[in-house]
Order: sequence, then structure tokens, then C-alpha cells
Amino acid sequence: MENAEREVAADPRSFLGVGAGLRLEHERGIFETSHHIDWFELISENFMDYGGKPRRAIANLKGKYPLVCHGLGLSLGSCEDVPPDYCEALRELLDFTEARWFSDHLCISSSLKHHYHDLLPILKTEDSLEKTIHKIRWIQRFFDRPFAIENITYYGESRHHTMEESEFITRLLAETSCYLLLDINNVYVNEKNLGHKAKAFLTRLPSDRVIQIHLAGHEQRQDFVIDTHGSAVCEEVWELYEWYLKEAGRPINTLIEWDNNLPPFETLDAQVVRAKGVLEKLFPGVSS
Amino acid sequence: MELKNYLSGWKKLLYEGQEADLGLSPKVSELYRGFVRDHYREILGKVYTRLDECHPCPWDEWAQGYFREYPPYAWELNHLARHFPDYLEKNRLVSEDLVDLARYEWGEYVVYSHRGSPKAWAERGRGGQGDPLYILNEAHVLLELRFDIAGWIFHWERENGFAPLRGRPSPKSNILVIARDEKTGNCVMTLCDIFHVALYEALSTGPSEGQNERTFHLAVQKILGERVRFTKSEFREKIAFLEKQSIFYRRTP
Ligand SMILES: [Fe+2]
Repeated sequence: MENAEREVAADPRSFLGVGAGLRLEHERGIFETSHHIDWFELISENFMDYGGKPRRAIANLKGKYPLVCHGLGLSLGSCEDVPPDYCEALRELLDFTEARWFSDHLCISSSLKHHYHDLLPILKTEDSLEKTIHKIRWIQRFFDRPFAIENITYYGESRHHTMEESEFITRLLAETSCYLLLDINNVYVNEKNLGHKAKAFLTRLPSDRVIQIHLAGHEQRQDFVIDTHGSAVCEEVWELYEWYLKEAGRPINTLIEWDNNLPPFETLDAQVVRAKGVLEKLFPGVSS
Repeated sequence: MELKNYLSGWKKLLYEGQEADLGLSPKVSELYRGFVRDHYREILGKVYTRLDECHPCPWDEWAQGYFREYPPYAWELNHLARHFPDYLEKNRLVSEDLVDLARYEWGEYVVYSHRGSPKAWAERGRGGQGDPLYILNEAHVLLELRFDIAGWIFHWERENGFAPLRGRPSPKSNILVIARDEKTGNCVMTLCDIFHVALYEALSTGPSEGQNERTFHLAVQKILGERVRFTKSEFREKIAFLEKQSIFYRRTP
């Protein structure tokens, strides 16, 4: 796809509908049942450099559904270069999937040659912001494809931060041409754990840069609410989603994230139907 | 705080198990430590499912020990499980037959996920002047085992389907090749005899320009030496079997 075309395809105003995370366990459901999923998101690292069944699943979906790639290895909040083999494998996957856009988390997932395989909170300071902007610009140049950053959950506020997350994200978006993948569940979880007011946080972000919304489930474990992606979206998050769409005043690509404790395909599809119901209520005719 | 100090703080906390000035409460620090360790436990449990079925695995303890000896070195999470059979063997955590089972399970995972040889697969049966006749399927592993793991699993699954694996394998030195059938994505097991190993070795050196059945036969025979000789028809028969087992692809010159 030419760059200009990619830009059009990934423009937040081009609405793809409601998608779901691709799980190989659901392959039969996808192809053999009638369902309501409009597009799919792949966890990049689960498919990068893979052949066999994972690769074949993509080949089967390609052309039938729009695909996007969502990873956790770029480690946007650490100032180091991304490993070259990672970059090559991701670029190959983006080409193979003809990804409309790709995304990663605004977090630290590796640094100093160590891989954490987890989403650690970034440092919110001027120095860190400047380095993150620099890294995102490099990523945009290297991959030459629309890119989005996702807000994460975190479980404690470091006293070393010197700015609010909303300011960090807003300035980052202003300084780069990247988009925002807004995870509404993460915003809700942060309110529960840290007391950050979800609606206040959401209104401070530029809604015109939101290319995609994530909806997911979470779990209460002892003193924390953990972002597990292992259950249905809760009522409070559905309410927040509806409230946000109303505020944004436009339909936004929405994705149901369900990565662990996988449900039957019909249960996942029912979540997609519910999201479509919210969109349809606010923007009649949008799903047709 | 400078970003580089913040980053080394995380390394200290998560890798070196030390306290670090990240400006977080001890409870939060411990939560993150737990997350990183849990990824190890999850990935080991996912790759070594059969081991877990026939032997009660104290995953928390093993994952912690394994994390200390083989800290996460790769971006690909599943690859971190690679050294686990060595870890089991070195620390004598299970008997030899179960170490073999772990090697087998890692082999299966590698073959399942391997990028493979998409070009050779796409071009199988086709060819042209100067094309190599035999191309090794890269989606394979060769294992030298002390126990008959493949036979044990095969018989168990034939009798019991996918019920949790029970019993133990019988001692039997063997060379097992696990290769992926590109058509189905499934793993195919081949117990190798001396001829297979020689053929495999000849293929592993890479296809040479203009290689054909005759030159290939000669290459295999050279590896085998004078003691074991194969006629042309025996050679063809063996080759047809290994091709069926997805160990290599053939092009027609
Ligand atoms: Fe998310």
C-alpha cells in the first residue's frame, strides 16, 4: 500500500467498526460461524517470526478482514534502540498482514539489554518525554506506517514524576504524528488503584487523535485491581465507554481485548455485539 | 531523576532482586517483581504441559530458580523456555526420562512455531536448470534421546486421546526428528536409523548447485563410509519415506 493510501486507511475518521483480538483457539468460530466481528488485532510478538499455524491463520484472514498489529516490545519509555532483529521481524509482519496501523504501549518493556515482558510505567519527566518523542519519531520513520501509543495501567505513582500522564501523552501526540489507542479499561483500573479521576483524565486527552479504543476485563486481587484481560468488560467500563464516545462526538474503532482465560467464541462475539449496540445508540446507522 | 537512573532502578529491582529508588512503595515494587516472575511460570507451564501432567511440577519454585539462572534474554517470551531442560538436568530436579520429555516438548514448540522454509514449500515439485533437488525443511529439530519418548506419547494418545499423560517411557537410545508438515501445520515424528542420519547430515550442509539424485546419493554414501552400502532403489525408498515425513522438499529438475 502506498503511504498516502495508508494514511487514509488509518485516519481516525475512517471507521472500521468493532474488532476482537485474534486467538488461534477461535479460528473455527471466525470462519465457521456467523459473527459480528469487523476487524482483528494481533499481538505482534505472538506472530512475529512465526510460520506454521499462526502464520496460516493470518493468511486466511487477510483480505477478508482489516488487521492491525499490537505489540509490547518497542519499549517506548526507555531511551535505547529497539533490537534490529525485533524491528525486522515486526516490519515483515506489518507487511505480511497489511496492517492498517500498529500500536505499542506507552511503557518500559525492556532496557539495558534486559527484557521484562511486562508493562512497566514510564518516568514522567521532561527528560523522559524528550527521549520518548525522539524514539517515536524514529519508529515512525523506520516502519513508515501509522503508529499509535496505548495508555497503560500502573499500580503506583513514583514520586520522581514531574508531570501528569495526560500532559505527557498530550505533548507526545503534539510533537509526533502518532495516534492514541485509548484503553478505557486501563483508565478505569487506574482510577480504582490510584484514585485518578477517569473522566477528568479522558477529557484532558485530544479525542481527535484517538484511532482505536480498547475494552477489556480486570480482576480484583488483594489490594489491587489488576488489568488481566481475562474476563468480560464490566458495567462501569461500558458506562465510561459510552460517556467517552458521546464526548468525542464520533464513532471510534473499538476492540474487545480478551487474552487470558479465553471464553467460548460466542461470548467474545456477544461483547462485540454489545459495543456495537452502544455505537448504534449514539450514532444511528453507524454499524450498517 | 534522570531516565537512565530510573531504568537501572528497574533492572536492580527485577533482575538483581535488590531494593531500588523508583519512588514506589514496597508493596508496588513486589507486585511488579511478581508479574515478571509470573511470566516465567506461565510460559514454562505452557510449553511443558506433558511434563506437568506426569510429574507434579512446583512451578513457582522452579520458575524462580530458572529465572535466576537464565534471566530473560530475548524479546520473544516463549523462547525463554528454551534452556529449561538443561536447568532440570543440571539441578537434578527430575529423572533422566523426564528431562528427555522436556527436550521433546521444547522441540515440538520450536517446530510448531518455526518460520520454516516458505520458499522451498511454495516451490516444491517445481524446478529448473541448476536447482538443488532436495531442500531441507527448516521447520525441524533433531533430538538425541535416551528414552523412547515418541513411542510413549504415540501409544498413550492412541489409547487415551488427549487425557493427561501417565506412565513412563522405556529406555531406548534414539535419534528423533520432529518436522512440520506444512500442509497441516502438525508435527511429524521420525525415528532415524543410520541412513536417515547420514541423509540428514548431507542435507544440513545445504543444497549445492546442480545437486541431483546421483550426486546426493554419493554424498550420503560418503558420510556412511564403506561399511553400509545402499543400492539405488534402497536409496530411493528411504528418500521417499523421509519426504513423506516432511523432512525435506524435492524439486523436479
Ligand atoms: Fe489495551
